[in-house]
Amino acid sequence: MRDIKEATFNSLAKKADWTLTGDVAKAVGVSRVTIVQYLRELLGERLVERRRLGKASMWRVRQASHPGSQTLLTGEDNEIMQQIYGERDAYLKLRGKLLTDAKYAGRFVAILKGKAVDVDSDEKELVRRVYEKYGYVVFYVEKVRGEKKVLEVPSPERVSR
Amino acid sequence: MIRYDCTEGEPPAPVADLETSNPATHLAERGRGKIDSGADISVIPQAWAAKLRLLPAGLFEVASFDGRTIEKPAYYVNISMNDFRFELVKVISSRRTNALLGRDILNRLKITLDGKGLKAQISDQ
Repeated sequence: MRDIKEATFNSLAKKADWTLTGDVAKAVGVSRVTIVQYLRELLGERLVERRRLGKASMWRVRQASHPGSQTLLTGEDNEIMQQIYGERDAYLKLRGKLLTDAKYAGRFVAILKGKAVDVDSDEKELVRRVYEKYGYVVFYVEKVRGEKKVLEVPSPERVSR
Repeated sequence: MIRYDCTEGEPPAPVADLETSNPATHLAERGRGKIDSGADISVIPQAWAAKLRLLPAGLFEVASFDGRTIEKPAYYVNISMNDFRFELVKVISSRRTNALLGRDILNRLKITLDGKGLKAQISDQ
């Protein structure tokens, strides 16, 4: 049962737009009656949202967080993302200064609400301290360095249709 | 010992069962992770990030096989796999159904791939 629920959520998570109940059922490979049961559970858990279209229902993964909530759903363009971009912008403004300060250069810095709130050469220790002190909040961690780092996730995967 | 997964496409790939969890709330999600020694960083499905209520703690610019780059939010998660536990691993998420275990995790382990036998061995010594 958990697998069907997960498959239902994953099926919606892959799509950016609203999906009809029947199409979700088809994608997951279960009956319409079954899929409605799982969609309602996901709706109750606020993981998906429903839009009525006449007698039909359309579904998608919940896009926006509730006011006052720190819940990140699948949308990466919501308020929480604006927060992390804001913290990154603050880091970029501070970077020149941090690079010339021996306390920060080459070490990991935590930026919260636009300010450098902690620094450590051990990234994990830094993150632990920030969570302990400020709770589970959005903050920005970066190693203070001059050059930009690009990571690679290069393996191509064949998609079966 | 882990087996290659022959169900998610061809050719079969080494895939490990794993559990990821939110380091603060301890919400957990079980799933599978494909061993990807080409990846600099591990990747989790976007759906897991949503279920674990993860909050971003960084941004990474990530290049794909064709050199295209995309900026992705990064999250700290705890990952358990085959009796190994990795705390506060910085990962990104993408629209996929399984995780990718990159060298950020693989380089802490000894992994022997037996492609002909479709099995792999994971240890730390």
